[in-house]
Amino acid sequence: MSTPSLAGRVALITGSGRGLGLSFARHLGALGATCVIAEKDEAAGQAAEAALRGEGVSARFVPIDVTQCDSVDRAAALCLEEFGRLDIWINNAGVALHRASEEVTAESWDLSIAIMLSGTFYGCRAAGRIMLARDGGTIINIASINGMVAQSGRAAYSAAKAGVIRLTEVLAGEWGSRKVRVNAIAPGVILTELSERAIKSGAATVEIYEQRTPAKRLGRLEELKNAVVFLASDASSYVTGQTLRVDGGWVSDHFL
Amino acid sequence: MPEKTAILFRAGSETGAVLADALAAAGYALALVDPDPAAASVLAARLVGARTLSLAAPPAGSNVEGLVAEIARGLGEPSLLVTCPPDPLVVKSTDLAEASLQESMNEILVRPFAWCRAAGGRMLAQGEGCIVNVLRLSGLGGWPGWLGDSAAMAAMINLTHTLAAEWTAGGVRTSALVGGITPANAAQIERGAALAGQQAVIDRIPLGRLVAPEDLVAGFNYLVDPESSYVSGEVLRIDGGWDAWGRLHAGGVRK
Repeated sequence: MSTPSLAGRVALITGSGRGLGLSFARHLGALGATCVIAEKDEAAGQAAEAALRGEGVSARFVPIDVTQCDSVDRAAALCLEEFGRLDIWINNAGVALHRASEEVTAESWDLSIAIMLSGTFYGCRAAGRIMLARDGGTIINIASINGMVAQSGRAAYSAAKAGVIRLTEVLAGEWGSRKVRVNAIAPGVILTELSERAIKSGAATVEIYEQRTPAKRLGRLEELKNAVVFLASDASSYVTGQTLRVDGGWVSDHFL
Repeated sequence: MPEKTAILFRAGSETGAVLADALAAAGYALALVDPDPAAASVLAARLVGARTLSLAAPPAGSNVEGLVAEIARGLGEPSLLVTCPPDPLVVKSTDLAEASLQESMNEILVRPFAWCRAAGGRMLAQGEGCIVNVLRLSGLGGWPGWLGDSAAMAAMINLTHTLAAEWTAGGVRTSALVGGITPANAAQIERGAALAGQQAVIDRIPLGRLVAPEDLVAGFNYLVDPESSYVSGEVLRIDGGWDAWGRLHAGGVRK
């Protein structure tokens, strides 16, 4: 009902050159946060930085490869060197590979786990080390409804996202007493470049997704704004270990 | 902004009163419903400037469609229903009478359901609305000595999921707000578990403190905000990390 201010806070968002990550940066930046665009694709990262600056957001691109812990640590250190603080860290980088499990290669499995589970842990650890040593902070991990309910053809993705949810709970218990809150967001099927690619690849049709969702429609990027702002701001100062679902009711429906 | 109407079931409870203040401040007209009509009237008198209607909640098993129609006539069609729980019954399971278990089910599950059905039906006819069931952490796992509370709260969680599955397409979002340990709950836990003080309860909470009213209000605002338009069936815990923590280390997470 009242919009919180994030003025003076510094947020790093992985995988924020496009899609969900860029929209998270945009939402936090609009509330006054300085946004560090941590992105592997340099062209996308620089374009995102320029776009956000054009909107009046204080933004800075830093290259990152979340599968490499040294790269993640470097991005965190750079953030601290340049801005003197780190208040919000969002582990968003992801990849959605659809394939029948019997055909999944070891390389594809390893890539999914490396980006979404190991990468999330490296991000939490890098952010946590800084936040624990300073004034605390808030970490947001982007999970998925597939971390809560299974979907055929998404073994690695679902396993990684389920791991992200439990990782979030473990860190919430470990770090809560030291003022570091760790939460997650589990989006449902949101219209992004990633989901459009999945739809185009034939993994599912829009109609199938809509029919499966109690809301009978796909989610819109802006519908994640409230969740990320709530968890990033002091409005959620008594919330840790939670996975907020923004899924149009998907996980609630266990029926046909 | 046109005035909206909210129904608060068990408005006279501690949580109900906190949420009534928040809704009045946000400009809602409020139907204050409570099994104890005096409690609803006292609350209404305190909400100076808000348009209110105080109503006595009928017993479990009563049809409340007529009361919701009365609220719609008096205050406008309800777009928000909030149900709050009663004080818990804390008694060892070996001493729990079937009648007491039934009472927990009636108070925590059956009566809120009647309001969900009546208000939700009207919201579906309007094509929009929001329901928030306020619950306790006892519904998320086993709580020794809290059997009736725990079982009925768990049932309310699946009631919430089911209504979300049924009604979201009709524009009615249903979620649960699971509050953390209040000072009153801490005292109940302390007595029920024969603890020497509340420190063991606080040590069990990763964020190291009991829940405050403003914590609950912030979570509540998140759920009812129209911009949370793709949120339904959520079970939002405002619990300082209570539920996430696996409780392996004896003596509390903070030790």
